[in-house]
Formats: sequence, C-alpha cells, structure tokens
Amino acid sequence: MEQRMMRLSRIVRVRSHLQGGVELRLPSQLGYEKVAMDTVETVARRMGFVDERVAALCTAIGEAITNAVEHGNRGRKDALVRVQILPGSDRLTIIVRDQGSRRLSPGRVLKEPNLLRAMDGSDEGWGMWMIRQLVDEAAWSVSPSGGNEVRLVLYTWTGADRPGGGAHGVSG
Amino acid sequence: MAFLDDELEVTTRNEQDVTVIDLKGDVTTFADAKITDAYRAATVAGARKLVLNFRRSDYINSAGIAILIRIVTEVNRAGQKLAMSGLNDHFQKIFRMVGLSQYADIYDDEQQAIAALSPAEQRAKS
Repeated sequence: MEQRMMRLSRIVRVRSHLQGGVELRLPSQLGYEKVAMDTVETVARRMGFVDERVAALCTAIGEAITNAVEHGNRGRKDALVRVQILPGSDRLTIIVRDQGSRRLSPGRVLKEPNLLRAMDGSDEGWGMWMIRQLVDEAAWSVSPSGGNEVRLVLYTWTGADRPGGGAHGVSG
Repeated sequence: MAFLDDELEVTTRNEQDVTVIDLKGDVTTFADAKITDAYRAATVAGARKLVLNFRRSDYINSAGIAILIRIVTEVNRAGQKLAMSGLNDHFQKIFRMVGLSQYADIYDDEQQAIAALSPAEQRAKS
C-alpha cells in the first residue's frame, strides 16, 4: 500500500510538472521539426519573448530535432522524436528525446565552426554548436529511456538579471 | 508529409551584369541539388557577379548553411563575386555567427546587393 502511494505520488508530481506544458510525438522524418517549431513559437510568444529570442529558440529546436532524426534515430522511419515544451515562471524549457540508435558524440557538442575547413569539406556538423549559441542553456545527456536527450532553456529574465548577463529577455 | 514540405523553388534572372538566384522555400538538406545546379548553370552561362536572394525563404538550417559554404567555396575558386540579400535579422545574425559574412557580403535587399556588386559607373561602361 505504501509503495502504491509512493508510485501515485510520483505520477502526480510528474503530471503536475507537465501541467501547462505540451508534449509532441513526432515521426522521425525531416520536415516534422517544423511542427515543433510552430508550437514552440506559439508558446514562446505567449510567454512574451521578443522576436529575436523566439527565432533563435525555433532555430535551435529545428537543429535539435534534425540531429535526433539523422543521428540519434539514424533515419529509422519507425522511430519517434519526443518533444516536451515546458513553460515555467522564469523560463521556457524544451526537451528533445530520440530513441537512441546512436549516441551523440559529446565532442561534437562544443565543436566550433571552421569555415576554412568546411570549404575543404573537412568540417561539418555545426548543429550542436549553433544550438548552444542560440539558447541560454543547452545540455545533452542520455534519457531515462536510453536515447539521447537535449534540454534547452530560455530564461525570461532580462539584462543583467539573466544568467551570464546580456540584453535578451521578454518584451515589456 | 506533403503538407510539411516547403520544397525550394529556385529561379535565376539577370539584372544588368548581375545574376540573381531567387530562393523560395526551405534551405535545408533537400535544397542541395537545386541551389548547386542553379549556381553551376549560371557559371556556365558566364556569370561573374551573383546574388543569392533569400527574400522568400524563412527557414534555413545548418545543412542549408553547409550548402551555402560549398557555393562560397566554388565562387572563390572561380574568382566570382557573391552577395546575399533578403535575409531577415535572425539569419543575418546566424550567417555572421558562423563566419559566412567573411566570404559574401550581406545586404538587406536585392537592390543594395546589386548596387554593391555593380556600381553605377561600372554599369554605365558595360
């Protein structure tokens, strides 16, 4: 009985955590990232983020889902990409999970673009680097279900209040 | 998935001595052949000054940027001049972030790009 209560309590906490949020289950095919981008745009605008921040977040989401489709799920059409959109009082958190046929390489996360190498065809895969430049926080890990997980955070704080400073934030 | 496809349409036209390549739709991995073919066809036709016009394109991802880098590489090797126009503020920022703006000037609109590539006095001589 006590264990059941604990399980229920955990479920309630999870549901509470998701309250006000949205979860998308997308086919693992390029093109569907736009469904997530549109949804994130709607939520971010309702939270009051300025155009520049909304555009940056949408581009980051598109890259994260493209990575999930192409690299995590390795193009498997029967796989899914799950996207959780979690608005909070001071932040918007997006979690993208794939079904992890292939682990994303941590070394690629910090890879900076090198245009000269790219011009020789020896540098590619800037998606993760771009993501990190476009949002306030980006973290890659293995999800509880075993796939890759990327967690993106955009804070509503403005100016010096924002972690790391800067002039971003919400309008008004 | 047809309702999600925003397949890129590429058209090419000449404005004075500048070849303008208009891109309408998504610049992603699916756009590779169309952009590359349009650029190479323009080059075979003798284009020396080119503008990539993004005015009707509002989704460009890292795979699309990789395509553009390859075009920039070919432009440099061929000794051509390339400008980009019609990018919104967000993509101008991204292009600067990844360093593309070092190799191709970015202008708000097509007229500015053409004027920069082909100043009036040059146009008068040609």
